[in-house]
Amino acid sequence: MREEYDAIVLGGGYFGCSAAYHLSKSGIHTLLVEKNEIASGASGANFGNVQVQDSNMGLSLEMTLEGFRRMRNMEKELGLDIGYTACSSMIVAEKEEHIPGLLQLYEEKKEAGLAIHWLEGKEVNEAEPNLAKGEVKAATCYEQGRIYPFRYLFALVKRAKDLGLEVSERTEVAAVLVEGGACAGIILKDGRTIRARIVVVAGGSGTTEICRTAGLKIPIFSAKSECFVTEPIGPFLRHDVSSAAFFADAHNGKTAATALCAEQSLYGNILIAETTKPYELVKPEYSDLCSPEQRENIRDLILRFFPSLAGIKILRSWCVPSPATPTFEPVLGESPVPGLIVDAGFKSAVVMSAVSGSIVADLANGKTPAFDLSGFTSRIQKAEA
Amino acid sequence: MEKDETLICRCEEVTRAEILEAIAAGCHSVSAVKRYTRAGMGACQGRTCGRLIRGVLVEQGVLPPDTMDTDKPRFPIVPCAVRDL
Repeated sequence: MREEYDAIVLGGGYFGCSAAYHLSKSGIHTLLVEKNEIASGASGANFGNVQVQDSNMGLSLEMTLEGFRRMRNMEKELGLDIGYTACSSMIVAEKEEHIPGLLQLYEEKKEAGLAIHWLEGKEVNEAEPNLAKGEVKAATCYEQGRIYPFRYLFALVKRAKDLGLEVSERTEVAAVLVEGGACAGIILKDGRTIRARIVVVAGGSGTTEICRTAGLKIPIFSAKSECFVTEPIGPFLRHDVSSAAFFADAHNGKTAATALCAEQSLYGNILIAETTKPYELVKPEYSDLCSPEQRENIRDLILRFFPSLAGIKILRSWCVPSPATPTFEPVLGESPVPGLIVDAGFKSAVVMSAVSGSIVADLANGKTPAFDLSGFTSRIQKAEA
Repeated sequence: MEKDETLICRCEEVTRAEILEAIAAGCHSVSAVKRYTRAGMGACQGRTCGRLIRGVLVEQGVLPPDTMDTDKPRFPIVPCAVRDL
């Protein structure tokens, strides 16, 4: 590690690795700093869904559609296998009260020109035969995609390294260095200073804390998120299935919640999520341990929706801090501290990863990005003195 | 242990060559090698291969010989049916 770079990226997840790749590609000498290891946080715990149909409208959807186009071409662009497969997403209304919200999602997306489908009653079971009959009132389906998270993350790092990126893992940042009101680099917890005129904070749920050291207030909060994986089985799920109440329930920032999300991985394992709890409600000694209450919630959820999985074995669980914002829209763009770029708090990460990387590289090079980011940048505020 | 085609993780069928590739890509712990190769993600959850992966990391000079580096054990420790969670 040198004492000075053109840019420093904080965070080795989807957004940090993508920013590092795009900055390196644009000729900027970049250092990627990760407090643990590449892919060890929420991105490594993610299911790899290139989620399109549940996007918020407006700028989120514009970026999602461009992001989807980028992800479909990412294997070609990187020249590496990232496990991209076309995959249909199904969002299910498990209660009558979820139907109006799901119908709105369907109508908005249809009006925006997406080939989205509405299913009711037995149409749902024809589309997803292993779903328990009658448990789902209605569903929307959309043909999108999926990647294998670890391959994608390591592919971004590999290509970025080919272009000159340096990576420093197990490196903790104490503060952003601000000099004369502008970003000047970072100070590490071991006391070292690394200088750079650009610092990109892509620290997921840790973003708020890092930005606070530069006098900024960011509305990203963090929930403890727990997921499970089964042994590999034969073809079982045709869709990436998630609940219409997934974001509203699982990332409400206030209560512990369990919301359905089930997918079959590239390797045949069933990935099951997700239970969440705001960190304020989690005892510190349980911050990275699977909890008994959530374990029972997940069991009941699976037995209700996919009863034929009752005898299938769970191999492993994982817990990570998962970021969210009150509106489920990201914080992206230049902050009031010149040179400090924030790139975090996305609703669906994979689909936004490549497009956000291009935006970060444009900002770092003084170019105007292809999107008007004001709606996402206005969320970065100076903390009150 | 010296042949490239030797299976290090039999559950996920990961060879020594793949472990070496992960190390060359910058994976310097048992957990990082697991993420890169899937070694340790199968039925035995690294009980057999964890020690072998650590051995390759030591042999390649990435970890010191007296390391206790392991992947973090995760619930449910032994495979458990969904209904028994």
